[in-house]
Formats: sequence, structure tokens, C-alpha cells
Amino acid sequence: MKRSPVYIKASSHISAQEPFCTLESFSPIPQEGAMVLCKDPDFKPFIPPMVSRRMNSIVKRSIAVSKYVLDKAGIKCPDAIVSGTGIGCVGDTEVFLNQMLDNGENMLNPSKFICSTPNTIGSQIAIYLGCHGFNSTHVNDRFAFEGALLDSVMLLQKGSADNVIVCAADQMTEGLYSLMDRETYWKGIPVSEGAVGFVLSNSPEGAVAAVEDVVMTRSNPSWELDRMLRENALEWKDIDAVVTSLLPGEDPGSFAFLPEGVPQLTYKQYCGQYFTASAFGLLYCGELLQRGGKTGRILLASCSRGTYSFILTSGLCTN
Amino acid sequence: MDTQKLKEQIIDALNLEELTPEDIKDEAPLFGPEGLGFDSIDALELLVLLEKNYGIKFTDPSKAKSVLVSVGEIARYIEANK
Repeated sequence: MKRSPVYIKASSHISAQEPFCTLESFSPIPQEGAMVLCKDPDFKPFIPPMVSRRMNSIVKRSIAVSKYVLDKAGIKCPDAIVSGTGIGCVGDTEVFLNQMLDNGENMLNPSKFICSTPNTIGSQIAIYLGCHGFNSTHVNDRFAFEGALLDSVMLLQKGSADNVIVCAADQMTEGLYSLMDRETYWKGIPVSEGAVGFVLSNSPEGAVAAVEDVVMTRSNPSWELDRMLRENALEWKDIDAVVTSLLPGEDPGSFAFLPEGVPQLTYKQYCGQYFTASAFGLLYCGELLQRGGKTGRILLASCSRGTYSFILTSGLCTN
Repeated sequence: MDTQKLKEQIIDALNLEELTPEDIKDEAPLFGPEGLGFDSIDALELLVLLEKNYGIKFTDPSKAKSVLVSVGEIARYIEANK
């Protein structure tokens, strides 16, 4: 059954690209070095220093990008805030755990403990915006963003909210990087970090693109993808491009089921690799659709260790 | 006691990047709108600071409340309980 779409009213990012920049300014991140960190904006216009002093960079970025997209969408306070993070506020977690070791589990600073939990991101956004609505955090490795998006889509489709902030954020630290299995987890291009925010709405008014469907599966991606298209009354000829989570030059074996003839694009050359990079992928799809005169359909296809996600996006003039 | 060092420790512990020791007057209230605007989490941070750096541990919360009013009052308490 075809579901009603939800609409992207605004989107933006703080990432390895210039903060809040649009597609025209995207450039491939440097390939030398293991990590490419975020290019942070001046946070003072977004968060007063006395408020931000306990905030780790991931929280500051999330608040700044949420505020930025809300302003772009002309919304003062959303009905709901849904966050996705692969591993949360790992910087503060590292500090807190090191303090536990150094101080023999005594005299631990409360701020680092409070700020180390992943739901600090969503709760700090809510406190800052004065939003008392639904607030949820999805912590799920490389599919945290998809979980948050699916949650938001259901909220909007059920009518539980008219507009939702979806914020996907992760940070990278030397400590985290050294713990990851670089051969299987971060091979190919530099790891990075970022915060991407969207304002989603159930109204197309003022929107820049639509999210028509979101599917996650661990089994038979080809079948699930065909089912998704069928349920949306679409065929492959209706899909103008597929944006995949492949790294540039990576063996496309995990997406071998995609039909030849549909152009394939990638986005990680712009944002690097991190847990919720697929949020940047959705932002990229939205930017492409806008540049295409808000027409066309783009499928965002992600794969990680046998789990797939498909996000079907479209321009507002496509039906 | 030299309050300069204590102020530096407070700025560092509470991450008060916008303040310098000179901005904090010895007898200015730490809490409330008339003072520096510290909150309950700051109070916990100050207790950790005092224990970690000066070996001072409060068992009576009301005593802590009477000490954590200003940098000057904290310095006098440290001096008296060294």
C-alpha cells in the first residue's frame, strides 16, 4: 500500500564540509590522514557561552544545526525531536571512563557523566528550544539515522506531530578510532564526524523534497526493494538515480542487485565515514532534487555488514 | 589563601571559557541571578574540586551550602580546614 510521503522542509549539516553549505560548495574531503574532523561554525550565535560550557562538540553541533534548520523552515519549536547516533557522546564518555580509572572510581565529575549518555543530544536540543513534545533517541550503530527517520515518518503519518526535527550526529575521537577495527570498519577513505538536521513535515508547503518510503532489512534486499517500488506504484524506470553508501571506487558487489542503466552516485567522498553518514546521504539526495527543479526520484541505498536500508526520495513536482 | 589559583581551578572545572579570574570578585555570589549564575551541577563540580584538590569532603549538605557562596568564603574554609 502506498504510504503518504513526508516532506523535508529544511536540511543542513555541520560536517567536514564548510558549515551549513549547499551542494555547490561541496568538495571531496582530503584523502591523506586517517581522520577528517568537522569544520565547526562559531557557536556563539546559536548557544550562549554559559549554556554551552558543559556541552561536548557533538551536542553543540546538534543544537546549532537544529536551530539552523528550524530557522530555515520558519518554525520556532517543533512538535517532536528524534535523534539518531551510532555511539553518542563518545568524547565525554571517554573523559568519564578515564576519570574512573585515574581516580579509582572516586571524585567523578558529574557533568561528564550526565553528558556522556547518547540521549543528551536530543534532550539538550529540547531544553534549548523549550520543546516539551515527543523526544526519542535511536542508538544503533550505522543504522541509527534510519531508525530515527522511520520513527519520525511514523509520527507524521499517524498525525502525532505536524513537524519533527530529525538530528543525526556522531563524533570521532582518537580513542574511538584506535578501538575500531580499521580493516573492516573504516577502510577506504578517512573517517569523519558530523551533525545533520532535517525538519520533516506532513505538509508539502514550503518543502524542498519528499521522503516517500523508508525500508530496512537484513534479508533479501532485492526482494524488499522490489516490494518497496511495487507498494509505491513505481518501476525502476521511475527512479532517476541511486545514491549508495559505497565509497568511491569500492567494489559494488553489495549492490549488485541494482539494475544497470540507473545512474549510481556516492556521497561519502564529501562527508567521510561515520556511523550516521547516511543522514548526509539523504541531505545530498535533497540537494540533488532541488537542483533538478524539484523533479525526479532518487533512491538512497545503504549497506553495512549485511543490513540494508532504502530511502525513497522525490522532488515535489514528481507524481 | 591566594584566591587567584582557586578561581583558575573553578574556571577550569566548570569550563567557564568566557571568564578570567579577574572577572570573579572574591565576595560575589556564585549562585543566583545576582551572581555568576551557577546551578546545582556546578555545586557538585565544586564539591569534587574541593575534595580532589584540597582533600575537603562535606558530609553535611547544609555546611556545604554555607561555604559555596563565594570564592572568598570557599578560600577561608580551605584555609581553616587545611
